[in-house]
Amino acid sequence: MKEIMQYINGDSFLHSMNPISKIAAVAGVIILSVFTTNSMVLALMVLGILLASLKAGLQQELLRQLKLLVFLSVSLILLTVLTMKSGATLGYLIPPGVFTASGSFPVTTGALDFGVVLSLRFFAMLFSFQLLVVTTRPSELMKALLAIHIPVDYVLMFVIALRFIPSLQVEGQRIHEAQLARGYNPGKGLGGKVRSVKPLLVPLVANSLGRTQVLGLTMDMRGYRSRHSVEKDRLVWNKIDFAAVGCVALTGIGVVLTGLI
Amino acid sequence: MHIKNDDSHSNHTSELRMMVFASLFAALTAAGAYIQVPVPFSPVPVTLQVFFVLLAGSMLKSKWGGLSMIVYTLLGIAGLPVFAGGSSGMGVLLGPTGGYVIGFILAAYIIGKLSEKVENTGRPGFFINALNMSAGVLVIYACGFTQLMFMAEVGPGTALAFGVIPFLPGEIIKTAVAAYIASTHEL
Repeated sequence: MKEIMQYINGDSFLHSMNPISKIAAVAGVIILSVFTTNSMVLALMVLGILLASLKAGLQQELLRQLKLLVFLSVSLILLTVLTMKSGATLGYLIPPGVFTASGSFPVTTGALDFGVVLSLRFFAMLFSFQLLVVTTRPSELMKALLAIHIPVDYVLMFVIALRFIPSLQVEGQRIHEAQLARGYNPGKGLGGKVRSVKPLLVPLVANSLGRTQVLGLTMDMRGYRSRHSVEKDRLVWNKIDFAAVGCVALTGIGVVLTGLI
Repeated sequence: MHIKNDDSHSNHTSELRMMVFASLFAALTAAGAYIQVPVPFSPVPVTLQVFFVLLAGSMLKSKWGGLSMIVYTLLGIAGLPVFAGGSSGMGVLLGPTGGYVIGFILAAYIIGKLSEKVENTGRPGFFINALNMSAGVLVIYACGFTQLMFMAEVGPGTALAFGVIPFLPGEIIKTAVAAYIASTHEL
């Protein structure tokens, strides 16, 4: 199992961008996707992100998230269709005449639109954030976050947590497989499911506590507390940076203007 | 690796180590969203997030436990799919189910405060830990229930039936395992 959300070494144009501008662009995309309710704008943003990843040759990374995202969006659209009623009625989930004369669970345009907006929102946020993480060296990410004056302790906690998530997922998988390999059979049904929790969790927590202990000691030994280890060399801006931030800003201005008109 | 019998570091728990552990628990809570235990009689799978929130509170104590949950929330806001069911973003936090996430921060802090109080009289055992954690579970569900009621505009009965009752049996098991780990392992 490959680790997701990890830095991938490369020399695409996304790699050579300034991390600050990447963070600015991602923040812009996230803010825009939260505030706009126009599915066209969202679709354009997702398309733009996909094109950027295609240009950088990282589309494989994004497509690996597709299964989760499709599942999420299908359940979101179903949820909104079931709960929201607005706009014209397109049809019925259960056609008329099956249970009731008029059909139940009407599918309305308003609900469909809202469901699509919700799922495109997740697409945009996840893709943009993943491109940022995959193309930015963790040390550069730290430098950039420090450069916008976020206290070093918080930056470090954020970056370490980001690093831990995939390894914990892999480790959980590994422990699960190890328990299966030694013939552990929790039994079937609800009781089995409940019993299978403890043999997975206790090793996972104990292992990760031990590993974190080592990480803390290592950081102490490398003199983290003196804080000279984080050198602050300047991050350079180039044309692509201005282009990326400009694109996101233009979309934002467009959305605000069309909202005003 | 058991930390239980390792006394050489436990008397000076430095700030740096607590910080690293706080990020560990933020990551554990995030990973917990993916470890799902399907429950036959509920449409919503039970995730293990609450379990790690309880552990964060009782092992890291109030300040760092609360901070670790804040880091977790920030990860979610930044766009990482760490909230239950793989969702993310500010919209989730303000939506009907955002109350649980806010409850995580409060619960970790309160469990930490409670176990700090208990620790003055000696090391808490399994039952004291379980009691503290039950208080935390109550806090999480109180927050989740309130926000669900106001954001989804449903009555208290419906909110209780959809947002609290189906999860309670799972919470009891998680509390028991969390209390077991908290009383056998030490930072």
